[in-house]
Order: sequence, then structure tokens, then C-alpha cells
Amino acid sequence: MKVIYTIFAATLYLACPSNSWGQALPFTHHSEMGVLSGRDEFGTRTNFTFQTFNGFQLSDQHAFGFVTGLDQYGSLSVVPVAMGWRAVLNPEDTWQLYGGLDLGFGSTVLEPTVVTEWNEHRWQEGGFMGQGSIGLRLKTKRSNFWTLSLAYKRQVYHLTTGNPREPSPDPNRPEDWSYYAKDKITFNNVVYRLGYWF
Amino acid sequence: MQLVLSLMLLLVVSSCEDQMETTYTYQTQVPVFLQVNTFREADIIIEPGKPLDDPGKIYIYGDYLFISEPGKGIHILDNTDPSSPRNLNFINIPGTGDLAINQSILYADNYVDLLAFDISDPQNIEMVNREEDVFPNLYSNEETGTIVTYKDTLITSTDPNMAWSSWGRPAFRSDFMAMESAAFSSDAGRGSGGQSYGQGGSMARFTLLGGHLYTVDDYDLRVFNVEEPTDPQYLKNINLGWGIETIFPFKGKLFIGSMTGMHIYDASNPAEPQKMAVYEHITSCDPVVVNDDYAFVTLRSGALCRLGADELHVLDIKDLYNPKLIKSYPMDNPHGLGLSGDYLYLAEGEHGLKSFNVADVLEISNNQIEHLKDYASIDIIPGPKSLIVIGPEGVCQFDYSDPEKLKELSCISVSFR
Repeated sequence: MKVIYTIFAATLYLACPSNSWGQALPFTHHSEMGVLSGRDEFGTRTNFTFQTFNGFQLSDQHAFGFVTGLDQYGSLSVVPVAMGWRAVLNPEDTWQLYGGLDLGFGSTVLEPTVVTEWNEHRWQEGGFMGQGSIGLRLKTKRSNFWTLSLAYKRQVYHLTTGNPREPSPDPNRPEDWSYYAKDKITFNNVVYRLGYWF
Repeated sequence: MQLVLSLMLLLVVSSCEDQMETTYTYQTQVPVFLQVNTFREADIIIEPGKPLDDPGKIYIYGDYLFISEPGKGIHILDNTDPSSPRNLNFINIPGTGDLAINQSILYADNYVDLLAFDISDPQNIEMVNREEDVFPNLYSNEETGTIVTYKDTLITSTDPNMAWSSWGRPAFRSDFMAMESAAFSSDAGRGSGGQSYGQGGSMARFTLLGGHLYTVDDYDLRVFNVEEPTDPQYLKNINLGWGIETIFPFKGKLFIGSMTGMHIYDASNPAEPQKMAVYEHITSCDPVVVNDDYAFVTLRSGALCRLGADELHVLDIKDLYNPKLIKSYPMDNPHGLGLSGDYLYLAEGEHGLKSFNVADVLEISNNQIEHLKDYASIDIIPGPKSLIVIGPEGVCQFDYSDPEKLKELSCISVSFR
């Protein structure tokens, strides 16, 4: 995790024009919406996803930046926080082939800790998020792009359920709980997206 | 680009159903079987003083403070100056729970045996006697000399039978929620995999009265004749029911706190304690202290205390055959208590330490004097020099010469948590 934070910090630092050497790197932005498709014990699962990539153009072919957004797995909201890389194979053509790689974590910051009337505590934690994508990019007249992409996304998520034994239990000390169950769920998704890039 | 493509291919190929792994972590007591010979033949070693780890019970004798470390042994501290107690030594007694001291003879349990130590010179402690097989309820097989003890152990399991959560997971899909909830309720029905969770502190509890040593454990009151201090004699065993927790001697009477109530025994014939009364209350955990007219009983809720209520009960015990509840006061999470004259000191567990003036037993809640929230406390001894408070974080002593204003003298912290 530390490594990811370091890279984040470095990216942020470099993205700021006053810090980067030479000429400021051009800003680039890519927003996408689509569906996450996976399979769980009940069959096919289809969920909504939105993500936005903000970074800077290293060259005609390469861009580097932050990725964030929202993945809505039913009632569970996961906010990805990742660093991303985009590479375009043939930037001179109208129809371009591109690929991307995002690495980081999915945060459950939108999910509060819940205590039921039976004094059962439930809290959620995110985990590793990794995504590789491949897509087509269509140049418009105003040199913006429409994109169509296919990706594989892996998201780890933890749900802990506990009934306390102590008056003020520590969530990280199973000794403080008379029941302590931790679910680790790994979502494997194939993702179809439509997007806009400038 | 080729790299990206091959990576993508790899990822897509490994794409499969969502993975779910549930781990259940629980603290339980794992049985440990032990042959009696192994600890009887092993020497009881007096070690140099060492830091407190998990303090259990305190005992004051003269200028010395004895702090038991359940299952491990007893710390001896020189408490001549309560503002700076000095760690002297540690008696390594496996399987010990409680202690009592009678004329420089310290009694402590060692699994099924009772040990007697001569502590007249704390620098040179000697074991003088071993009374064998007096706590036989630890035996799993007395003929082969096998005893069973239980060790707190954290276990992590992935066995789905361990689930007893009343809730399901959130629905990770928005389409057929109805089916989802149906599946969860059947999940919940499957629950309760028959695990037993930790039953703490089944150790004996000791007190001395009229040349006799009384010990209580879960079910029994045991009587030992210690008129010859170095040679304790096991006399008899009185069955008290279940959930026996504490014993408090006062003017020839024994007040025994259990999970269901308070037992009063007349020990005017110390070898033959006679039952006087039982005051029943709801199932809860409860130590007792008394003065001439009243008994103060705390009821505490907690994982091991079943239903539990958090209350202080005041009983009129002028007629010992017929104790009557006068009033109960709501408390936070009361554990042990200590009575000194008109002042009652009450350990509120994680909620700290409280002091009350109890001259008027009908107005105790209006006469709360202090609430020291920073001192998590479990038990209290109003000693001759200081008020000694034991808690999960260590042992603190207070100057209580002014009962209205406790003044911290010293705190010995446990080495780690």
C-alpha cells in the first residue's frame, strides 16, 4: 500500500506544472460509464460503473494519471482510487486502438459501520483493485474522442461482522468479540464501457 | 502494447466467478491435558521480580502486595511505600488462580493441589506443604492422574458452520433482491454451530476465617483447617449450586456471591459452616461487600454473565436469615467493590472508578463523590496504607486518607497488552 501512496504522491507532484521539469505536460481526461458483469453463486451479476481518469500526456502515445469513480455492486458502493496508465497504438488514425492499466484500491468510504438492534456490528473495508482494459477510440472533428472499451477488473472487498464481548471493542482484536466473521469477497468483472476523452 | 494485450488476455482467462472466503476468528478455550506427576515433580521456582502481564487478584499482607497472574504464578511486591512499590519476586506456580495468607504462610492452588509457602522472609520463600487432590474438579480422569485445563486460544476457521450472524451480506446485485434475502434467511437458520465461547476464570477463590481456609470454585465451598498453618488439612466440601464467584468474610459469616444470588453461611463453627440464607436475583455476575447492617452486591452484565443487569443492590442484613433488598441503583458495568467506613469504592470496569458516601443507603446515587474515568478497574482493596485498584492495565494505588478526594500514589502498568 505504501508503494501505491508513494506513486500517487509522485504523480500528483509531477502533474503540477510548476514542479515538472521543462514544459508543463498537457492535461488529459477520460470519463467512462458502463456495466460490470460477473458471476456469483446466483448466476450472472450486472452492476453499474462510472470512472474518470485525469492525468497528463507523457507523449502522443502515453498518458499517466489518477482514476476514481464509483462501482455500484447492488447496495454496496465502492469508490476506486487508483493510478492509471493509457497507451494508444496509432494516435494518427481516426479509429485508434488503446489499452489501459489501473492499479490501486477500492474504498468503502461510503459504507458506514452499522450496529443492529441485536448489537451486531458490521463494517466494511475495501481492498486491492486492478484493471486492464483495451478499447477503440474515435477521433471527432474537434480532436476529442469517443471510446468503447472492454476491461477485466478485479476488486477485493472485506465485510466484518462481530458481536462484542467488551464494552468498547477494538475492531482489529478478535479477542474483544464473541463472534467475529470476516468475509473476503473478490469481484471478478468483465467491464463494457462507453466514454469520452479529451 | 503487446505487453498490455498479453496481460489482458491473462486477466480475462483467469476471470471467473466472484470468490468468497469467510474466516471466523474466535477466542475459545482449548483443553490441555496434563499428568499430575509433571507439575508435582517439577520444582516450584522463585524467580526474580518480573513485570505484570495479566493481573488477576490482589492480596495485601503486611507491607507486601501479592498479585496473582492467573495460571502462571504470584508477584510479590514490597509496598512499604505505596507511592513506589518495588517488585521483589515471582513465585512460578502453573495453574494457580487465587491465594490467601495466614501467619506468613501463603496458600495457593496448583491445579488440583493446594500449596503452602513460608513467606516470613520474602527474599527466601520456601514451599512447606502440598495438599494433594483437594480441587478434584479439574480431573478428567482421576485414576490415571490426568487433569484438564483450558487455555484461551484464538482460532481462525473457514468452516461455514461457524456462521451465526443474524444478517446476510449486502446484496451485491440489484436484480433479484427477493431471492437474495430468501437465501440469507436460510443461511441464518443454519447458524449456531454449537461453539462454546470462553468461560473465563473458573479458578478457585480463597479466604481465611477462624483458622480455616475457605475456597470457592464453580460449584463448591471447600473447607481446610489451617490452625497449624504449615499443614493445611482438607475437611469438607459443601455444594453451593452453580456459578459461584466470590467469597467475603465478615464477623464470623461468609458471604458468597454467585451468578444467581448471595449465599450467607454462619462459620461460628469454622469446620462446619451452616447455611443461613440465600438471596436470589437475576442471573448476573456479582461480588459482595458488607458492613454490620448492609450488604452491597454488584450485578454486572457481560458475555459470561448471561442476562445481566448493571446494578448495585443494597441489602438489609440485620437479620442474616432474611436478607432484604432495600434499593437498587443503576450502574455502568460494576465489578468489584471496596467498603471503608461510610465510603464505598466501586470498580466500573472500562468506565473507571467511582466513590460514594453510603451513610444513607437510600441516597447512594445522590452521594456519588468522584468518578475517575481514566482508571479502568476490576477490583478494589481498601488497604491500611492505600486504596489498591486493579484493572486490565495494571495496579494503581491511591491515598484515601481524605475519602472525598482520591490522590494517585502510584501505578504499575502491565508490560504489554
